[in-house]
Amino acid sequence: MPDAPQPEPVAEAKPDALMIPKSFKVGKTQHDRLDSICTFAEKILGGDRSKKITAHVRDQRNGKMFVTLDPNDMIRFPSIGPNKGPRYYWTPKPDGVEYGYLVDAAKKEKKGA
Amino acid sequence: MAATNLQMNWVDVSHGTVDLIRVQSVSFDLGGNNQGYAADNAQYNEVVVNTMNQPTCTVTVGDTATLMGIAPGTDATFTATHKDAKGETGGDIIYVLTNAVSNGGQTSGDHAAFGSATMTFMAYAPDGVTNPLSFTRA
Repeated sequence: MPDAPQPEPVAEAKPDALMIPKSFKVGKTQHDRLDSICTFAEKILGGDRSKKITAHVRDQRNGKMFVTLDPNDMIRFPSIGPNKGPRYYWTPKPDGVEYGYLVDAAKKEKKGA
Repeated sequence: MAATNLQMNWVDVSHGTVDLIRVQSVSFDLGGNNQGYAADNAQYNEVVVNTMNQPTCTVTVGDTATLMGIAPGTDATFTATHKDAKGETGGDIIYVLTNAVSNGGQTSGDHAAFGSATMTFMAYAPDGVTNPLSFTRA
């Protein structure tokens, strides 16, 4: 699959992933900063801390954090495999957060996993 | 009681289906590799670029047999929970290192001392861009 632009998803749909600027971290300790991002992301992604469905935060070293509810998620398809390119459509929001929606091939892959 | 914002002791440490007990220490290393550039009359690097990152984690346990049973090259997700220092609810930090490949273990023991085993896991990103190390809190 080429890195071609993808169609916009429905605006109200719950995203599958987030790219959050590091400036969103709040707190003085590692736990506080992590908690601020997890709490923010879980509201949007549909996490449920009481059921241990929590946001997994990855420092992407480009000033952003890649956040999903599954630690095995990746930004792109593996370099070796049938699918190529991004696994998400990315939609920027006014606050600087990007909402990621799985492309069809990634949805199928997840269902088959 | 609120979380202490201090961490102490590790629980729920595993590599794939192998649960590790008697965990004495766990450490994560982001493995950044920087390259500096200098030329002409420069006496310091003029530019430093982060060229590569190779996250690793190292675990030391008293249950030597289980850890040494993980063969070099075994590829699985490494998970460890760093407990809140007073065990308060909501204070734990959970580390997940995906695609963590065992480098093979080392074990040793001195006379009249408890033996231990240590293993390092090197992680990779199949897509080349996603950080294999993620954090969450309980």
